[in-house]
Amino acid sequence: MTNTSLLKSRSVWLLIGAILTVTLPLWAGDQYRLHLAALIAVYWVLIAGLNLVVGYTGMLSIGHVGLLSIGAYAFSILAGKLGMDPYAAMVIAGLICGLCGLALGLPSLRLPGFYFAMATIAFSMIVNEIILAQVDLTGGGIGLPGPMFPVPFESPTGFYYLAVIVAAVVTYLTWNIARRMWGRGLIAIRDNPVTAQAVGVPMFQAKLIVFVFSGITAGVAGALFASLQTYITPDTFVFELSMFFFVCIIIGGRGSIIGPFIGTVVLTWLPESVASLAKLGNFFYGLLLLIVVLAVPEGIGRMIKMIYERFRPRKVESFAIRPDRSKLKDALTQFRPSHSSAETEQSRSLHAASVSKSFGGIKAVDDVSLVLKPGQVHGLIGPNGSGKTTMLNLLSGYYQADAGSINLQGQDLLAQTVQERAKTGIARTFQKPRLLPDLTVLENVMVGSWLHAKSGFVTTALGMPSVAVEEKAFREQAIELLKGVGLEAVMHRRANLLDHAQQRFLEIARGLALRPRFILLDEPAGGLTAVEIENLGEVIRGISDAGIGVLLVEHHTDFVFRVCDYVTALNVGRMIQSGSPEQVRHDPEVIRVYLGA
Amino acid sequence: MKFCNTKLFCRLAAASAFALATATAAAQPIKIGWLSSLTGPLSSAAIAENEGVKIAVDEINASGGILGRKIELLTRDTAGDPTKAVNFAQQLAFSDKVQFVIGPVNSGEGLAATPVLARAGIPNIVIGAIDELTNYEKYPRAFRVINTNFQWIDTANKYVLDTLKKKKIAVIADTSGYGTSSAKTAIELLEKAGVKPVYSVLIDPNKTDLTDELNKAKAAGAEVIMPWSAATGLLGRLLNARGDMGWNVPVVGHPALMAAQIRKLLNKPQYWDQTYAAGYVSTTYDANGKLPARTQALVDKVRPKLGGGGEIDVLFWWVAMGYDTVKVIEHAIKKAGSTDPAKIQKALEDTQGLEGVYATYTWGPKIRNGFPDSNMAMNAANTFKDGSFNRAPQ
Amino acid sequence: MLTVLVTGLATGMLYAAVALVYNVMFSTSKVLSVTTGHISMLGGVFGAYFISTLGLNWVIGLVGAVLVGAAFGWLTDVLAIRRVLARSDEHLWLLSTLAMATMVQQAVGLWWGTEPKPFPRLIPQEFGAGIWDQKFWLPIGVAVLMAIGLDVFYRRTMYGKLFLAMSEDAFAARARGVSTDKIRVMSYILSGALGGLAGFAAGQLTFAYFALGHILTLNGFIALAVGGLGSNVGAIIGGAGLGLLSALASYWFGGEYQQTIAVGLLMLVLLLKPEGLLGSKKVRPV
Repeated sequence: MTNTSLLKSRSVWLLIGAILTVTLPLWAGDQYRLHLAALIAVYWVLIAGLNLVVGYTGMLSIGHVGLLSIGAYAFSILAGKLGMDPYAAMVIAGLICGLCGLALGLPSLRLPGFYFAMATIAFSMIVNEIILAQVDLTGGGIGLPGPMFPVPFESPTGFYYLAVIVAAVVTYLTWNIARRMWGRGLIAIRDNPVTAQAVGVPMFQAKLIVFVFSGITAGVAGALFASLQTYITPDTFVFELSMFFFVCIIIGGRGSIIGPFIGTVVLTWLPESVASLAKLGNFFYGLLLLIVVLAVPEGIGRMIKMIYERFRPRKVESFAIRPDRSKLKDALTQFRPSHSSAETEQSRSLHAASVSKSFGGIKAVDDVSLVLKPGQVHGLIGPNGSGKTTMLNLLSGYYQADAGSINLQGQDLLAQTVQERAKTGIARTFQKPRLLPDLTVLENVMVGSWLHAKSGFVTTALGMPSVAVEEKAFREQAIELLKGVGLEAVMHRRANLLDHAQQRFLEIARGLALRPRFILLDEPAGGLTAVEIENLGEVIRGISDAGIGVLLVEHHTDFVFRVCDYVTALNVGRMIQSGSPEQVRHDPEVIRVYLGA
Repeated sequence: MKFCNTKLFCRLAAASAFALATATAAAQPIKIGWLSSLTGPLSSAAIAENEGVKIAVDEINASGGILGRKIELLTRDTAGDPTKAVNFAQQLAFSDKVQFVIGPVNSGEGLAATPVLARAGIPNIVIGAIDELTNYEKYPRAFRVINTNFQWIDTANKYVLDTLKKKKIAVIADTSGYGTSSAKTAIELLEKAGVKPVYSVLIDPNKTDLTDELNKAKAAGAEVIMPWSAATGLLGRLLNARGDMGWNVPVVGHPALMAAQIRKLLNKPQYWDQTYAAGYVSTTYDANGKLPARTQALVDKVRPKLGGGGEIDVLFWWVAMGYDTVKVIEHAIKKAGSTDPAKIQKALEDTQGLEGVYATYTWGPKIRNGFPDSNMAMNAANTFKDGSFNRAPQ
Repeated sequence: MLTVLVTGLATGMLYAAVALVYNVMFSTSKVLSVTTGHISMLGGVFGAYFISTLGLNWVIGLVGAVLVGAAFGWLTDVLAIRRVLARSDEHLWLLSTLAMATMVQQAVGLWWGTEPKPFPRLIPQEFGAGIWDQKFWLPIGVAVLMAIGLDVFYRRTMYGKLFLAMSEDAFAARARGVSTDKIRVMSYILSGALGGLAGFAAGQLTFAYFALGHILTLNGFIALAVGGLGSNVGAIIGGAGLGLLSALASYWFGGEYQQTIAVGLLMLVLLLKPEGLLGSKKVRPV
């Protein structure tokens, strides 16, 4: 290996970092710097957990100082006043904070962004009030001494290593979450909640789990903090500290672990070394936050990745999408569970009967019935405002029908949420492609496999071997699907760098990763050239070859009549004709309202 | 002969080496760390104390320093934040390697920083009043210069019970560390004297209207209000509420009641009447309107710097105390003959009757609170003049 | 007891005024700005500065405070909103306004000091006036006048109707030739002026205090959420309710749990009627 390639290797940098961290007591200089380093490690324990909440899931939680203080006080009371073993006390403090995170999250996580942020701020103020009021328990304004850990962690150097060990463990846990399916799911919630729903991510539960996790890390950080500072008072836990945690993550950049870590190091160390900054401390954090939001909203993490990519230039060539119909069919049949022969085509079909939906006084869909058969391409056409997209939304669960029924395999779909319908096997694409811009094409497709990931949060965090096995399978499937739709050449490109047509095909691949029974395509030909439409036709045919039913809502009627086995035409919410393409094309009513002469 | 020469040579070498060493040591300044909350809560006290400290340092350096060594003052603004106080204490102790630390000012910061300094073995001049800050076993090198909170509370209590002869007392304190602990001590002491307060409450120091609390105190039949808070804003509002209500009861408590800022906060100057606070003999005018000689001397020195030549509008004991902290260090170094921490500790333990401006200090092997009871006095707030007061009516 | 009610009502009306400011900003930008409470803080601080420190008379002080508020509103738009709205990321404005709020709070803290400083008497009045003290009826009066004024503004003036049009459907308004950017800037300047006025009027109640910003942002928001986003009447009701509840609770149970009770109210309302008492379901900021 040459010198330059050694420098580019990420593992080399990590190794250097690890060596520096472990040998820090030797080169830090004095105990003060050691104290600062330990403080950084303790802050990082909290920030690493909070990073999943803020950076990955996009929940703007600004009240984590409340959880830190609960952890600190719980630890000090348990290990100090009640004489419990400090390690046990630290664990219990973490669990208590996890419970508090649950108590805060349950009512607040459903609230929209600003409301949620205010709720977290209010939470930290309430915690402060309670601490001041419960004088007998917390010492009120006087505070409590922070207990020390036993040998060998009671000396400054020893404590530093304890903090580093805990920080390393927490980093490992969050790193596991971030790089696997869970991380992608969280990013989906952040960047495109509609997509997250479509692939089956249980949004509220996922947010809650991550929030509780961040509570646990905050609690553990609180325990370590109390021990490091040797004394805690309510004055220590001010709103500005919450801001500080928050700013570390934002300037570090979302979707990154190394970014917020560097942010933490820099923002902790900077006010200490530049004494005049100490006074301006919080003003400076605000200014920094404003600059980052206006100029570099993606933070340092993104800047690092950009610099990294500059050393590894990828030749960005333009290319044409070349789908492979048979490859697609193989990819799909390989991963789809086969059905038992006892099931008839009837039972495997999706039946929508007399479905109606009104918005205010307008009946968008009026008594429409259709049947989607497995392996059949069913077109849905009509002029603007005829209710096509509404119908698609009704089938996929984004709208609730007012009347009628939708059944699949004996299940009443009307009772099911979007995620549940995804589980039943309904995938969809959107009129405007909804991708996750920060992830690569490959990762975007892998998100589609969410429902098939059996690894829970804890299993993923712990890095159990089963997770890697699953991941490998999803990756392989995604690659096959990309080969099938013809995007294999760009699979490592960031999704926001794709052109319009590529985005559409990517979305279809993602929908297929769900291993659906039916895929609903919402005007996929919009904005495509003639060649690209041909390719789209190939893809659709490949999907139906594999036995997956397709609902094609489209305006390109030539395309519809060419590629579909069955067509339904709507007008003003009602069905005006349905049958074979030939039938519908020549129907006088259809010609009159839509096709023209 | 050779032997003689060598011996002479060795002696000369040793002598010159020694001279060189002491000369280098003499060139080495004595580093004093100063943890002060110059911004943030209690900044007015810190700023005044800072003036006293600076005057003492300049004075000492101008006359050649201590044992030929100049003082280097390292000031760290903790802004009232205990985390900063701990960090700066660590920095002063291990990075800057100071020989002494004065402060911190706030009790919350003191509770956090004092153990850090104690572990580093650095002599700490304590200027926070809260009782837990000194302990000859836990913090052997922390010597307190300010009076203890106990002394404040006891003086005030005795004035109320013995001089004013009131038994129905309302105790009002703030929710800070200082306030919580003081309220507790005050109530304990009153109960020991056989008096239970008719009303007591802890208030957020930033609460803007105290009419509710005073109404409740009035309804409980209180004849005197005893506030324990160092927050001048809160105390000002307390006096305003009493005045606006037209409730004519005495207010007796923390010296911050007498701070000049309060005068600016009052709705009417009369609201400062019937307000008495624990003060010091050293900053009380005698019957002829004269201050003790040492206090007057410092006032004359300070006036050009603080009052701009005109009136001094801060509590003078803050300045005097700041001045004394440096003088105590000077005394300790001279007595110990070096800055060796163990010797300093011994020197201060053996100090009795050290005459300062603010007080005359006496410590002991088991005694770390150096302020004498005899220096306590009750002052009348509305007699504020140049930072000192007349005695409260006896 | 009467004093408790009046104090609570007065404080509550200040919160209501902040909620009105939220409404004006939200109507044209669909943004809930963290700086809303800070505008009123500036009104109070600068009012005290102009009158007490600089010795100007109270009318000039009032005008000055309103201008400072308006300027800060404009600054919020320029720095925190304008460039951010252009991007599609929803929550960037929350970060940018949070950053601005922090900066202005810290800057004022460094300049003005961290202690609540007294606000000057505006109208000569005896201090023993009890519940008729101007520190109570000034904020109450101003909040009510603001609500009425806004109603007149929306219904009777051209610009008011433009505001309404933008809040219903900004896209359609732009399609009709309305310069939505200009309208938005105007609404921010207006809301800044209103906020400054409210802070000035309530100055004798709250004192000139740098940390008021966060407190008002939070409590003003609670008033807004309880009363219903988008409803000015709701803002008044929500604010009054919050103020009275807080005052009564701290009277009976002591002031230690004041914030807890206020937030408890918010949570209760959000659970039972998420769009607030008088809010329209349509206007839910999802």
